[in-house]
Amino acid sequence: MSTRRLVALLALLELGVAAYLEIERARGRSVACPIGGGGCETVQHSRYSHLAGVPLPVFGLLGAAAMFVTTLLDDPRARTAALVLAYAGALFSLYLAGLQAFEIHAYCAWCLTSAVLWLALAATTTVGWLRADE
Amino acid sequence: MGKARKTRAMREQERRRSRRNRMLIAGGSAVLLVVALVVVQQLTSSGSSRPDASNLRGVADVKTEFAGLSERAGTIGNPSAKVTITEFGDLRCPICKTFDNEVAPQVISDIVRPGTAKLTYKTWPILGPNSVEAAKAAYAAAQQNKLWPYAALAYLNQGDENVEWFTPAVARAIGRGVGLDMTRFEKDRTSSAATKAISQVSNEASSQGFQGTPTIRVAGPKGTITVDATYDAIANGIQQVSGTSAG
Repeated sequence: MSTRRLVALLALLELGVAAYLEIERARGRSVACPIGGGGCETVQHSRYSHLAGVPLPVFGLLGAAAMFVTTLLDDPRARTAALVLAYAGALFSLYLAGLQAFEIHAYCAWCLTSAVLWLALAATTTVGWLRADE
Repeated sequence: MGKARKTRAMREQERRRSRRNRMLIAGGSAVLLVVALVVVQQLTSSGSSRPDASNLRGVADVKTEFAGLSERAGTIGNPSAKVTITEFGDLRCPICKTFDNEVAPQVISDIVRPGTAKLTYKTWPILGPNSVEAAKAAYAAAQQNKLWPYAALAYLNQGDENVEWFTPAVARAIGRGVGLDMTRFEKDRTSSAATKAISQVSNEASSQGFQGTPTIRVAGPKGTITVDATYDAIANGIQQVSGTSAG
């Protein structure tokens, strides 16, 4: 599989996770938390669940959608944009994981899944970037 | 040939340098972007318009406020007291919060604890569907005789009136904060009995022509009156309906 396809796949997975979190939040429901007890609910309703009034999954949705779009374009600028997005997504996810560990003291499996996806996106995008120049 | 190889090597070096620079720029931009996001989040999350279900305020204060007071059917204080003060309140109403934070503690310590009057809370949701959710949770807390502490903790953590902050997670966090049996709480909160109890209060309030929350009623041997939501008005009201001073 080419790195571009892998990025597209990872972006779609992240899109799914973020969409699920946002739909459940908008419906006033708590996401099913496969592991970690009621951690998802605690994290979702913590004071860190929004950024400037916007629910965090919306940022995930927008970021993943933008990542996916970059994989459709054959343009060096799209590759640079993908790199910036992927690094920002990975860094921000790490920050959110830190908040779960040290501030909220609860873990949300879906949010951690999202973090892993962003880290994978950053790694894959870097590989793709290096290969494109060869 | 040697010159050509040298030129190729130089080009390759140049390409690598350029690639490294662009990567540094991309990484640097990402770092700046994330720093900006973190700063905005830290600034906006401190003055939040919704309670923090993972860290409620005032759990210990509420425990102290109601320590030793027995509750029955939403009423605290001496069951044989001749005067009953009834508050019709909405957990999402800001004026009710002010009443609960600033007036109710004095009413409880100076009037209810000495046995002059008993105090009843009736949840009358007037601020839309999210208030109905809050009222259902209050009903469920009342089933475990913890309506007053539940309401007090909800008021202490009240979110913005224009935000639907009373989520199931907040409902449960408050329930845990006042030590409810959570299985029973969840069952009661979502029961049809909760809906029925709420519409009974709403009917009562509208048939009496109450204008909004909080509405404070004082009932005694000499009748029932509506008073302002202040300590003095309540103390005077008690005097009027019973003929004695609340002190």
